[in-house]
Amino acid sequence: MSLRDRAAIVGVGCTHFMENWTSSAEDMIVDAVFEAYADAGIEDPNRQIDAVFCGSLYSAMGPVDVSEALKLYKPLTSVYNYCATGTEVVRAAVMAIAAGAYDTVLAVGYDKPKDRGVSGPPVAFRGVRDLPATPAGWFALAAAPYFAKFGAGREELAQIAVKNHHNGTLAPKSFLKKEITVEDVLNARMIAWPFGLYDCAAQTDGAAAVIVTRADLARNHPKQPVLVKAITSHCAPHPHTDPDHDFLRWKATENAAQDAYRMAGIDDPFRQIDVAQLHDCFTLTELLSYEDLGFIPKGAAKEHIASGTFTLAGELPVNTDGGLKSFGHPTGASGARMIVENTLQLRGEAGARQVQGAKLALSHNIGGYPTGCAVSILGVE
Amino acid sequence: MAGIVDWGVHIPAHRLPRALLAGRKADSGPERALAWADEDSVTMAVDAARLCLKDRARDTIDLLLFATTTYAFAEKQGAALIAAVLGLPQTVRTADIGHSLRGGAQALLLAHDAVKAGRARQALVLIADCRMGAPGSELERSGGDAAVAFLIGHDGVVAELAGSAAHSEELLDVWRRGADRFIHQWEDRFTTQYGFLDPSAAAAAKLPTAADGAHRIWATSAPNKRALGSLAKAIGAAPTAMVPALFDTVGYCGTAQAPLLLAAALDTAKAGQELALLAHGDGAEALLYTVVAARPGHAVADAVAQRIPVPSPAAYRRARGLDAAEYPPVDDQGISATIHFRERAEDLRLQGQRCACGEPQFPKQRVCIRCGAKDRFTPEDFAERGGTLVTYTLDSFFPSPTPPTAVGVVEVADGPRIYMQVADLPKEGPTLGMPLRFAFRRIHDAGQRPNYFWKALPERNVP
Repeated sequence: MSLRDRAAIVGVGCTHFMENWTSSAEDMIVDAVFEAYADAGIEDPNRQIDAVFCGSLYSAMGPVDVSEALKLYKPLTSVYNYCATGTEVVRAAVMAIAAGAYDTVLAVGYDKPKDRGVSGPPVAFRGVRDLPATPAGWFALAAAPYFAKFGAGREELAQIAVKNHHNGTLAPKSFLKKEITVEDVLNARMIAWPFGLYDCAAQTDGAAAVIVTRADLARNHPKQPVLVKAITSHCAPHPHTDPDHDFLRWKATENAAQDAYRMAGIDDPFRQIDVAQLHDCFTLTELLSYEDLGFIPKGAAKEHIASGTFTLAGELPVNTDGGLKSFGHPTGASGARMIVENTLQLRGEAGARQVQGAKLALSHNIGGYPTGCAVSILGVE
Repeated sequence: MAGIVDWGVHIPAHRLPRALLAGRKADSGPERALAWADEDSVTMAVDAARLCLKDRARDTIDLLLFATTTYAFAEKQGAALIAAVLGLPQTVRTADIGHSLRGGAQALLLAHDAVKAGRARQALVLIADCRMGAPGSELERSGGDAAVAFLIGHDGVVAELAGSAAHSEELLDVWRRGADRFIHQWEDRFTTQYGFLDPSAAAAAKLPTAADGAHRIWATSAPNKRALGSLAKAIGAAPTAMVPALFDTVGYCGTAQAPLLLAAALDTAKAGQELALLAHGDGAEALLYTVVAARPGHAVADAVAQRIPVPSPAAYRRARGLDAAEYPPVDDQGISATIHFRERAEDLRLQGQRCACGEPQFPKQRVCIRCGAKDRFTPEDFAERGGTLVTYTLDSFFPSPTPPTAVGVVEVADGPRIYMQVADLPKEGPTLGMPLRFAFRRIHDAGQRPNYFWKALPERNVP
């Protein structure tokens, strides 16, 4: 069964992503969800929302965060898929609608990492082995082989950071509203080679909410409906033990992209997709995703970065709101935030960063080691 | 006759110039060997043992003795841990010999006794120490870290045991109480006279006199160069008959000191020579060997030559945990004991498995990544194989005495890929495809106890 055109997004909300010292996770859930209610014209959520799907990486409480914050006591499901959690939340919502279980559901992704007293993710101690266990270190493992084979280097990565910082200055709710230069990126302190500080996403607090309804009910809501053309998730062998990995790609993205294009009926993603939000947890992740998603051939990122293909003025603008890099990365919220941004782009509500005439928008989340990837494709008629 | 069949040595590659401790620029002057943050007496002993047992069967080793004054646990055996790491049969008898700086010599004698009595076909004796003097003390400067391994048996003997002597003495000269981090010592002239010179000379005097025309070489522990000279005079040995004591390259490495020099003497021994091992500590122990078949080697010279200078006093302090901290590290239960137990073969022996379809895998899994079959695996140890570096990063975020920490995916020769740290790299850092070997290391201190796993190291740069 395909999920294509079964569900529509009729309301979106997103908090300002930031180091939100004065708000709790519950505060931010309320901000994002009530914005989405208003966007969807929902005045009586207790009557109009049938079920809730939520996801967070850092929450100790899980789903209760959401029901208690909203005082909305409905069938409540929490999903978790590392950094792809935000897209998975919306996917679960769409599947429930497509299955006929509910008419209208709320999906909310959130995280509050800045209450932990550390910058960046923790160094995990699961067992004796597998150290260092830092996301920067895991995602950096593709760098040396890719650089050696395709001649790209830290300069290309730096240009991705510069682009996303620029886009972030145009998004009112982004965390880092600061232009940077390639030199800034190259001279920043190292985190995990080849990633310096500016190659890494900005970890922030934040929440994003999406209201999904049956496609045939979407016209009951005030805004232009945005149809879900595809939403899918796929995984791949752990790169650390995969005997066949070439470290020139992340296989999970390739797998999820194939599923998504099949579902949406896309055969030429570079021409057909108008705008994309990619998982730029690290600059190299975005670079590999251009290729793993089939936008351009493997190894071609260097020339496309040089020619500006993925800038706001380019042929396929990527991370129009600044991405994880500049908008911020509250892990469980990021995928939902991307869907919020794509919804705004497709409705023509993206302000200074609007991609003119956008009809089809892709978002991409990848997480784990990385091992799991979720992709959504939204469209307007 | 029972005797020494083979030997191996580990001297930590990190060397601390004494000039650095004195607040001067590191020069080419005297230095000491320094067990790094990921090394301790267990990991050093393992490395010495692996060199000693290279290309030898391990299933005839019936006794493993581990002599050290520096083992992390007061209750919990080190020898049993090392036996597991080396993959010795579980029927092996294991024991720790602790508390005394002559424990290494005593362990050797016990091993000879057991083999001679037929209680063990072969015995493996591992002797290791990490000397930790208080910051600023003479013991910090003069100490050294090292491990030595001897295989004792009947076949292929290089040096036979020809005699032994012991002298027990009670005094408080050098000590470390149960909870102490640092070695303490009474006034130098007192400890040298009564803790070292007198008992050493007494034990030496009780050895059989040299056979006619035999040349006797002395592998003798001593707290410092001057004391060693005094002893040579006292026992009537010519300076050339004393094995050079490595004070300015390795330092005085406690229990391992005299055994390390014995290994050096074995490296260059000639048939017919007599080698006397003389170790002090709560008295003294003397063992006399006759070289029956020389097997020239360079175990000690190679180990001395592997050298990574410590770059700064700060790196030294971080490596040895000497920086003051207002909040002590969290003393929790650490990694679950049941996880340690389930994963002990993987963690301690780098044991993975091979599927009936031929696919090697690490860690152990139930379902094959290649063919999807369930439970068709045979265990396989990968520690003694080399590998190559598939990819890497340099992680500056992970806590280390000298960041960044190199970590990568290593492809074992005819084996699986393993994600692991890459240690002891040259300044130029890692390179794709570089050949690597495996070393057993202390990987972290979760639970304030050592947690061990393997790291990948560059191939030994044997000059």
